[in-house]
Amino acid sequence: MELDEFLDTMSEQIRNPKVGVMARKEMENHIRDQAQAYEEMGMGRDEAISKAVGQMGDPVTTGVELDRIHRPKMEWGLFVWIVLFSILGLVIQYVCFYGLEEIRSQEVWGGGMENFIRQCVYTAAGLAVMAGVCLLDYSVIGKYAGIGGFAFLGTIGLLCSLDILPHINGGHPYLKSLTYLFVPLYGGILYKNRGRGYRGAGAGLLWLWGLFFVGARCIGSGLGVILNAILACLCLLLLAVWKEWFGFTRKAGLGVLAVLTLVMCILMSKGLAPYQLRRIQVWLHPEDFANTAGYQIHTIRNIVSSLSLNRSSYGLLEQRGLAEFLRNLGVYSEFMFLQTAVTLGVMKTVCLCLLFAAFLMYLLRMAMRQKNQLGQIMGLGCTLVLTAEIVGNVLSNFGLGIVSTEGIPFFSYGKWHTLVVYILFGILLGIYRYENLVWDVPVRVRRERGVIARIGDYVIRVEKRQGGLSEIE
Amino acid sequence: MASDKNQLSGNTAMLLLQLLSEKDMYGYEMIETLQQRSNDVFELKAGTLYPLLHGMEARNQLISYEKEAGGKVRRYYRITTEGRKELKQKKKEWEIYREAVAQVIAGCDMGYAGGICSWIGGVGYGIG
Repeated sequence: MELDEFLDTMSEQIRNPKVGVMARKEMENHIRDQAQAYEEMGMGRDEAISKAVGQMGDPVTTGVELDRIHRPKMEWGLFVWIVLFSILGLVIQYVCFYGLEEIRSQEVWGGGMENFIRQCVYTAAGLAVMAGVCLLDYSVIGKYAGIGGFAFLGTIGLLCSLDILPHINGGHPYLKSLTYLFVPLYGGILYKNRGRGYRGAGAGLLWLWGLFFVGARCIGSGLGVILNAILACLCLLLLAVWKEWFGFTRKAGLGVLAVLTLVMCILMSKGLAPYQLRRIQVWLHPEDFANTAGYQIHTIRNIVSSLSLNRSSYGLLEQRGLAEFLRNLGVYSEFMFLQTAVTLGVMKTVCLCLLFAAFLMYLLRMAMRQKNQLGQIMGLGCTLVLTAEIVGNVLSNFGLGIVSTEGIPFFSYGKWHTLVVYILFGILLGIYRYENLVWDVPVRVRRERGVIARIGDYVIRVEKRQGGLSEIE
Repeated sequence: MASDKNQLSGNTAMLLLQLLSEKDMYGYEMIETLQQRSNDVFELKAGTLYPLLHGMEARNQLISYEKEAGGKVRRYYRITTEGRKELKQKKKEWEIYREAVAQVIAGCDMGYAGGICSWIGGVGYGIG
């Protein structure tokens, strides 16, 4: 059998074209190495290749076996978690808000049954979207991350700037959840910048600036969401520096990154609207604004202090005149954990938080176990953004934080937010599904001791001086 | 001397993990090293090796990466922590198996010796 015939027959058995190409290259290298060894023993070239091919075994058996190993596999564990959380989320929303007598009798804004039905539809649509997204090969996102990121931020920025979209409270709050989708793209951007030295890390920071600009200035609403997305992206950048993706040492990279991040934070604060700056001030010192901007957090803390361990606290809240405030927060205001604590008691809400914590740990563990660096950073990005949102919400629900976000995954009302959360889960499922079908693209990282930067043909190097000072004198 | 395929296949994974616990290698290098170290006893076919390596990679025991060596871009394999655990387990199983085989073989010898002993004993008893 000839070399090409062997390779063709073997790769024909493999359904995934990427695996086919990879296996073909690996086998061809092997055959050529073996043939070279035969040639060194005195054999002719053709004879050597023919004998090397003969040594390989049956191409059909090998191909079928490789195809069996490299088949997309569904991460059913994660899928079951998501479906169960979706059902639990709807049940909790009904029990603690829509179906509650205190809400139905008062005709609370956003508390109508039609909203619950709408949320059920959004959840079903989200699950369908997730199933579709998980079938996509995520490495495509990584491959076109730069163009994708530019198109993504550019389109949102352009749509907001052209005044095509309706304004609500001076901004476009319905778009804010979309910024979460930038995080996995950002993971792909960092992956593509491997080996590019300080230019790569600098580009990573510039992209963060772009996200901030589009989020804070163009969308102009949802500071918490934008901060969550930036925080998740910053963690990914730190991870990339920690793993020495850019080619410079960890210590130097973290030092430079710390200085640049500080400079960028100062610049970003200049780009914030006065009300956004005030929110940060309130977040840092809520006690100073108890009767003005800090009123909400102040009242929430009063509600929290009235909570019962195992039963409804609505009666006590009515007596203390706090029930009206709670009802008005509604499901729109992403205070579902507080609603749950008031309706079912603190213990059940703590159990719910622990369940979320276990789920996030599971996601984090799965992301960190990814063999492929692209899958790892994208998976980690999705997990971090969900973690930031859940943690941020739990804190704001119990009066520990003021910068509220869009909502709690599975537990909050909202079309775009629900869809975005399920798209993130779809990407995560896709990463695990294609785990054995995607390999890292090698990058040549030039790593020399002491080199802190390269500019064209020149290098800036730190070296330990040989000998003492006296030697130089 | 080429070994019997069935006899070898159960332990090939252990041998490969052992090689990779010493240094990262590419497929051809593994076959060559295995052959050299075993004095040509283990002649592993590439058709057996690669599915085995890819399977171990899918089980997180190995990770692969491309690296240029000798003017060629080759796929190297590296053992993971999971792989090291698996190697430890397989070595333990192999020890149990080896000891069991040794005991059976030694038991056969003992039986012969015992037979001789009983014969001597019997003679002795008869004499007594």
